[in-house]
Amino acid sequence: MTALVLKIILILLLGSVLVIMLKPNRPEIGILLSVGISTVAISFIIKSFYNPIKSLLDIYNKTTANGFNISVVIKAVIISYLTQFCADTCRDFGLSAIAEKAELTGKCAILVLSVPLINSVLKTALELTKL
Amino acid sequence: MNVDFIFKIAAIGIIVTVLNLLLVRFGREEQAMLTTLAGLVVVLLMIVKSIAELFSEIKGLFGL
Repeated sequence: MTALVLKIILILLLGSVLVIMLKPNRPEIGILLSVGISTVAISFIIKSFYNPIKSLLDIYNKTTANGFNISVVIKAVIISYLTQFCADTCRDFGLSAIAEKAELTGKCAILVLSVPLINSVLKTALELTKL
Repeated sequence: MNVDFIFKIAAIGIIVTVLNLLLVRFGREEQAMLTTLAGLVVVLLMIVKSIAELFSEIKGLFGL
């Protein structure tokens, strides 16, 4: 795991040096290079940390019988990572208004995603009051 | 998707810078601008492809 962290950190540092080298002469290619570095880093991170987290989720699914679905949480995490990626890229370009919109998209999507959970909680509460 | 991708983009940037300097020095401003544009388009295409790859990877992994 330490070697992996070292690898990702080295990629990021080397990429930053290249971006700083390119910035004064070719600012447009420097910006695109910074986007490329973040995509490479995110794909690296997801690829290398997916299997350990997956095994953790398998343990969770085996131990709990039914009811609360963990997949909603995973989907919310993915949505927040993607919108954060977009918002950070926009902020790098200096477009903080568009970055805010990206974050708003993520918030709305997660709210809609959690509607079934709220529904089931309310249903359980109603059943309890009937007893 | 790997580290070569980053180096490729940086190399394109450096080559475009050098070509631009040379063409401006020889007095061919239009061709210098076209070189810059071509480099930008190539890099943009690479970036778009890599972002599409990243999104499809995420979709495949998490079964969204």
